[in-house]
Amino acid sequence: MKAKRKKIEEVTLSDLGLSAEEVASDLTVDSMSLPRQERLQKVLEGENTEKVEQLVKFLGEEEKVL
Amino acid sequence: MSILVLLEQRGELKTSAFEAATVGARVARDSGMELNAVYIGQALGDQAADLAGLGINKVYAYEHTDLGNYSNDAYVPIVCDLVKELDAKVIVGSASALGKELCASVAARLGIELVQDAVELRWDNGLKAKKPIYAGKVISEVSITGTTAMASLRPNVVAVAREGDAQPEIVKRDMPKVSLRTVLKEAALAAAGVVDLTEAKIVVSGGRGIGGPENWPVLQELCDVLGAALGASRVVVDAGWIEHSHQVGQTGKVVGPDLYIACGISGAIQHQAGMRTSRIVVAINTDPEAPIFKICDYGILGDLHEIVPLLTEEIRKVVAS
Repeated sequence: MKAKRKKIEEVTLSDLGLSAEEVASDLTVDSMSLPRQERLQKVLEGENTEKVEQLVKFLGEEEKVL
Repeated sequence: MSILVLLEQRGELKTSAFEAATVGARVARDSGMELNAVYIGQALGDQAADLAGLGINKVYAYEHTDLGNYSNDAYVPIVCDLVKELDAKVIVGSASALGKELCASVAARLGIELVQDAVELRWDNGLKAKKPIYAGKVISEVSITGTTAMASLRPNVVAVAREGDAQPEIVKRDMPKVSLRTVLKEAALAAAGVVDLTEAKIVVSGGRGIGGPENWPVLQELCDVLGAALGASRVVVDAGWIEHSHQVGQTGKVVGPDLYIACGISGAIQHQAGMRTSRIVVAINTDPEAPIFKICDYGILGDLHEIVPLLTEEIRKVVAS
């Protein structure tokens, strides 16, 4: 409660001996966008062995990651 | 005016060093500035040949036994002095744990702007960068308008590109007179194994679905066949099933492999923050409602204890053939 009644002192940049140029950021946010989500979301069907065979085929022949 | 690339090493040059050089070369081409690099380590030696074709004009090599392991006391003044000497306007490092610390220290010392963990860097009348924010939910594009710009590049987000086989000139430099307040006596390899999780081309990760720490060998065998690194979700790290060095996610490591296989991982947003930039994501889970299926390329609905051994055998056949 003491903190609630405490006077908030406002200081300006010049009070601190600073100028607007000195504290200005050299970094500008140009844009924000949602990340590209182009996942296939392909859920493989069949018996477990079939699913695994399909997966290895996709990873090896189409995605070239094996 | 020039561009300076920080070549990260851990005994040998890291892949992220070549990636940073690749991006640096693109920026150099588009800006018309000269590309140089700095190596700080024990000895560049024969690795200098690996820097051919990257468009680097000169490599400033600071070689000394005391520089073999990263030291903020030594590395920061070396980079700062070189930036001033070369009048470097763009500095590109790696967004590894050490790279981020080095970049932050250099940027603070020089009073320049820094973009950490960039996934794209380009030159368009100044340095522009894209970086994920809010746990990867948003991509922010920023411009650095100051006279000097610095960025650290997330590993595995660009492919190393070489043109020709031109060798950079190696400029040997003496160890600067610095006072090393801390000296690394010994570095024990973490349990993450020989494949560095952050630089791995393939990562196999396990979550609560593995059932218990006794089942890690099932995933480790798949890692061995693929030459992959073993990752984990926060849940299993918190449960004490595996060391934190394996954790992928917002409070763990950020990975960007060509192939990420999530086994028994639900795919919470905090986990996604660590693997979202993976090129291909495979999900193996018994729960059809698991969020991981929404961000995967290929999904298998099933018990990982049945699927993973089959997958290991099938891949072993492919590798053998």
